Amino acid sequence: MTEQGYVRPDNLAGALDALADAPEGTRVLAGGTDLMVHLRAGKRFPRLVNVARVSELQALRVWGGALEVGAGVTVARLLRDAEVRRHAALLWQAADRFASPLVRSRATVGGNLVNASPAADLTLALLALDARVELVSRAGGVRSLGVDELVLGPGKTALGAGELVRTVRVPLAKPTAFHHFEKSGPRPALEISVAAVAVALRIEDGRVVEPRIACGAVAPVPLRVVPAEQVLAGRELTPALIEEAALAAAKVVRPIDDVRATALYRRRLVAAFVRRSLTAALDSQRVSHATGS
Amino acid sequence: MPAGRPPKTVLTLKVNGDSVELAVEPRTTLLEALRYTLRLTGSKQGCDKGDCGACTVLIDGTPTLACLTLAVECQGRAVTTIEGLARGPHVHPVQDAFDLCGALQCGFCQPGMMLSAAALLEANARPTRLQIREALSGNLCRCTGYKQIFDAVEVASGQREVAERDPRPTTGGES
Repeated sequence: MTEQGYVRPDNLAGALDALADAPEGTRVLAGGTDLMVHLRAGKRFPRLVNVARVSELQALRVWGGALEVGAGVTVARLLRDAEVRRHAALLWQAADRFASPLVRSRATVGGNLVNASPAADLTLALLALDARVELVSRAGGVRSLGVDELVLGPGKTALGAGELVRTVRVPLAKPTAFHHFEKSGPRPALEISVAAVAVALRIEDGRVVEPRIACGAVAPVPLRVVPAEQVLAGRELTPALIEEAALAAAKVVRPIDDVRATALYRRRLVAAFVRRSLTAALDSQRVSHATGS
Repeated sequence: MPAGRPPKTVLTLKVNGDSVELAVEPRTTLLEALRYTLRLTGSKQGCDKGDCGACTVLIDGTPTLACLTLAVECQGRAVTTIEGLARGPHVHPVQDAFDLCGALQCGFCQPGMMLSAAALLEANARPTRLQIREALSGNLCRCTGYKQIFDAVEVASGQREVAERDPRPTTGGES
């Protein structure tokens, strides 16, 4: 690495300058929980832009009808934040199941998105929450993408040359919202998802409104299972409907066999997790009826 | 220095209470700086990719994986390694409890375990068993000694009695 090979700008303008004239293969370094591993494995990048000190990436607030999460916000910070828990419970749940406390204190929201792992837990929650990702560059200004527009394949994103993820905007959960995150691994901590399911929906007048179900580690990208959502939309949640949605989800995912699990097992996990999530939704509805709220 | 060798950056760290100045290449990890420049080999180089926790140190009191942290990021920050956990001649209560409970076999995970445990007790003086397990979940022990380790943290926090106290040498001094 040359002198230009490592830069640590103090603000967003500096970061965008460092990225604007950067050689191909330049990477942004935030928490380093993925990038440092590549470095340790001997991979070389012509330039690393360390954004740890860029304060513009540290926002975490409710603003303009959304929860605004800066790309540099760590998973540990998400977990400590009461607004995250209240307004984006699904994101909080995903953060709670994320790796270990040691990794959570460094890993960032922006890094989880840009690393574009099919098993990325936060990305999965953000997809189900219909979050918008704001990208900035010196030349192109600001543009906003959905999670499914940003993440294109394993390690592949729509991020253009010189572009940086600045903020993620998560719509605030309505009082009728139900969020549920399920993830499987042989150990509760430090486990890469064998399969994961993130569910966000609302129940209004006894019917399911705007269900969004995202599945992780069962396709090249975190995947919305639209046919399962269509089963649910506008219908009353019943055990029979839950079963129908679970089977629809298992049918549409495209898992592979690998060292962590077989495709068949993953497909069964998806059905089980969708079933479990929706049953929890049904139970929460019964509780709210019983308490008259 | 051969041509093309990355220039070194001089930085100041506060390691175990002492201010130290060292020159590192941009790509040097904190773990490498501690072990190979400062010769503090208590922080272990296990997986070297953030999975095992053997390299855990405290940065400004927060347990941190030194293998995933660039040394240059730590300019001006307080780093505590296992060598600095004892306070003067007295071992830290966590160290004492690990000793009393036999919470080690090979010892490789111990520095990281004890630093994670010390940080937990700093934040939460009487953690539940579940909170202990959660706080240490990023530190792997391959001798399967978790029970004794969790017991030790309970002993250190005054929530568990040690049944028998074996005669043992005093742990003070330079040993």
